[in-house]
Amino acid sequence: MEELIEYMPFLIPIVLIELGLALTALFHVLRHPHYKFGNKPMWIVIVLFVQIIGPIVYFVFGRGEE
Amino acid sequence: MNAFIAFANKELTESVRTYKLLIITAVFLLFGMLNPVMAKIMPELLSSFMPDGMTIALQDPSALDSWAQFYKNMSTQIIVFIIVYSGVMATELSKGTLVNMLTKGLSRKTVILSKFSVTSIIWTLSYALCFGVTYGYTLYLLPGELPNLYLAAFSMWLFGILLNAVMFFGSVLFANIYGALLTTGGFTILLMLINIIPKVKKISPFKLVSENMLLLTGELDFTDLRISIAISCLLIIGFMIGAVGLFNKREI
Repeated sequence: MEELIEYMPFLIPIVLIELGLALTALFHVLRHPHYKFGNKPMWIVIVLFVQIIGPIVYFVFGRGEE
Repeated sequence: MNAFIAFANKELTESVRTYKLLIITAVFLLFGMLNPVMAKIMPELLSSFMPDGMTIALQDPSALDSWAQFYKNMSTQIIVFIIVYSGVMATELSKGTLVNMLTKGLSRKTVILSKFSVTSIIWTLSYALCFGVTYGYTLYLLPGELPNLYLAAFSMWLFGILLNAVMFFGSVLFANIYGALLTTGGFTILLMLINIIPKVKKISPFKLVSENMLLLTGELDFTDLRISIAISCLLIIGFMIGAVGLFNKREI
């Protein structure tokens, strides 16, 4: 585990990007309650708990048309 | 020219508003950071997962491993890029949102070329971002000199542009996203299949993405790749001419 702490400076930006993506997607899910498929709880879970892929899948496939 | 810039501007705004730019930047930045870090910690991770008493011989990671990760992940990134941007031409055709602008006098050539330019610029910038981050981290974590570093990066970039051109051709041909994706996928599979023939393998554009590591170890150099590069450039021009020609004839 000590090795991992040594790499913290490199892992923190990665975690920040993941969080940034997840939060952007979460706000979008909450503010635009129209999806191509699925419902709000489903997308919240996907966006928050599936790292990186979740928000991407939401923006590419799940986001509804305005 | 004015129409070209205005339409390109519209494309860029659309890219921002539909979060496409955000996704692509995040993915490319993320992989750019992950490549060197993964290469560096992979041996330690592997040995820490090994049960007691078992050892595996692992070489110390080098700059080469970091770039191996880069080229391995870049093929995934190309797929993400193509999926995210497959809609730029195809959805406008399938929904008919171009009709207004075309009847007001915007030329069809301008539409397709400015769309192609914008996606190519986004691909170039995000690729440069990923390359730059990997380059910087590799320099810091796993220093080492490698031959043909920029040539290898250039060939991968050119292949991305080629797939982009194929995607536009497919979009105009089928006027929907699935057609665009199938054409691009089909083209790639075709390249893989004809790669079995040794004579074709030497000059196939697929060489641009399959032999990056040989470039970095110095086993190949520019003279081995120049025909592939020339053929790729010709294919890009060919597919774009084809796309413009088809688009001119297509009813919208």
